[in-house]
Amino acid sequence: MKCRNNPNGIHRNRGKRHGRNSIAENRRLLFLLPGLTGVMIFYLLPFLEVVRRSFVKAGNNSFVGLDNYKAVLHNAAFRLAVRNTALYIVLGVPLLMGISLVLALLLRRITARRKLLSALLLPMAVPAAVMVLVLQLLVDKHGLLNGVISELLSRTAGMSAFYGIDYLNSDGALAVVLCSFLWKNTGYMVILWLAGLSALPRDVEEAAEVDGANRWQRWQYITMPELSGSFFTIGMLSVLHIFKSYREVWMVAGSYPQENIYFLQHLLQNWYLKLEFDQMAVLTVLLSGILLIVCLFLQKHLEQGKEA
Amino acid sequence: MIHTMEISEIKQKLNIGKRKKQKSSPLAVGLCFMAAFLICLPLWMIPTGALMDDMELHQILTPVLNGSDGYAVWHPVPFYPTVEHFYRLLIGSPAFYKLFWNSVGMTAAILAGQIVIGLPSAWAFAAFRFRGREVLFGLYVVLMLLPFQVMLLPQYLILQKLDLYATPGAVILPAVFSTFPVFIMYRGFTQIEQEILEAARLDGAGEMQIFLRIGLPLGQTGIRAAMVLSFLECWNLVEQPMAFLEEQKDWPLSLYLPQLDISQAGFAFAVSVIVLVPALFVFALGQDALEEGITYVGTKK
Repeated sequence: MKCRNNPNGIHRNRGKRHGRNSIAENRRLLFLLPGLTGVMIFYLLPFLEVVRRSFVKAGNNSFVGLDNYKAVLHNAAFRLAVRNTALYIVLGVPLLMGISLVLALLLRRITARRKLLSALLLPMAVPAAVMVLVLQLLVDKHGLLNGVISELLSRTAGMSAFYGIDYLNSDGALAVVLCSFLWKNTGYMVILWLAGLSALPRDVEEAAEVDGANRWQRWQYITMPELSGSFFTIGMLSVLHIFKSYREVWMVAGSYPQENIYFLQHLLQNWYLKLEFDQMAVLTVLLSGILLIVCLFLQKHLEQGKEA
Repeated sequence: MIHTMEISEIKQKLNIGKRKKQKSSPLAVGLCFMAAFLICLPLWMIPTGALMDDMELHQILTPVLNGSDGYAVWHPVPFYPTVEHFYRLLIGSPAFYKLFWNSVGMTAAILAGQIVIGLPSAWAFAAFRFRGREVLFGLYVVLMLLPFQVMLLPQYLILQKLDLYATPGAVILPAVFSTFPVFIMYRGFTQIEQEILEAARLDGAGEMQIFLRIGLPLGQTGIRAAMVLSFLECWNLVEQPMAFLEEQKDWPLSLYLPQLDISQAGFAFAVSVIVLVPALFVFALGQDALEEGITYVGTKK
């Protein structure tokens, strides 16, 4: 990376000596300026304003220190949302990573995998609104999923008295959310695992196999160490995707869903509608703080990988 | 490709008599097919539902519609296929047209803006070294990874201040300055060797010339990836228009569907088909670019 920078470094020094080149230097920044101005106006400055607002009282703008934060941290809805979001992450991330890794390892053994990969990626192209319609018919108390289950039960176990589960209004709600999350994101993560696996020298694996290493040994000593970098990256991206999956949750279950799937985003959205901006400011700061840490870890990790 | 072929040939030679390896492949194929099938299965309901007539839909969905006993079923192939829903949609639904063109307009405006504004930014990050570049780029990456809800209040405040709230600009402008396409296009540009740019500069080419003659042609993969990902995102906008657009006449198509009651399932499925077709079209054309874009986010340079 360092040596790549060098030619430019020389160039810049030269630019400082000659007036003509420093004009060129300024002209170069014109490429960035329009975009950067927009990012400042629509993202960074209003965000800083929200940070400021999280420390002041909404009506009269007086500084109240951490009072807003205390109010939010003691809010029952906030605690529920934190608990649910944490549970969603704890269940969703390993499931997504596991399933997509298995699929990626399997896909690697298939030479004609284009079509399969297309099928796995297809959900990325399906607008949420379209999927929600299907999902409603599937998971309704009298929906298709319960129909299939009751059919299977009566055929195999002879049970005829199966009462359909009302998934979205019971503890099953989280399962529905998890399934839709997995449905949407598995293909995405499979691509990332495959990218990680493609860096793996196949010959090493082949050699180990010829030398008599069994599948588990090959996994333990060759594949897994090689993938350790990908594990981290894909884990962090999975966390970020969990937060981005709110759209489907909201569309299928509304603003006040079953209490197990009431997430931090619901809270933000509902406070927004109620114009409770000081609480919202606090939650925005807290949430972005956590996500910032995730992002920084991710970035640092990718930077380190670059030098290796 | 050649490399893997060679290896598989060698493998075949080495594995003569070893049945274990050859057996595992059909299993892998089977499992992957099953996963692909499970993922695509629910999507089959959309075209079939759109082609079923209301009688048939009401008959098979009665338990869901009325909450009566029993369970809904589905006919994998409609018994009495009809295009009546499409007819109604295309002839008798002015609201649909309005929202459809809103979606088209918004998507076009956002993509055009991202090209005009984001593309030069991406080039600046890739081709020039300037003070604060690393920090600034880090900021761009963080911004692209944050979910919309974090920016909900900040953007509301700025949109109010600029008098953009409840206008199409409230959705379009923040999206134009989204940092995600900048990142993707940047990664596409970094595939270009710095030496080429240096050589061009020494030969006296201006920065604009280098950008247009070298950057654009060689960075095409990244640009395509960014456009595919942006299109899928714009075509699927939900939270932004919901939060920042008040009147229904300004809404995009993605907000039209949730308003339809499940009792008009056939009609809703027909709308779904129309919503789905452009997205699938772009997906089919740009799958390579899409995969490229995904790996850009999750891998090192």
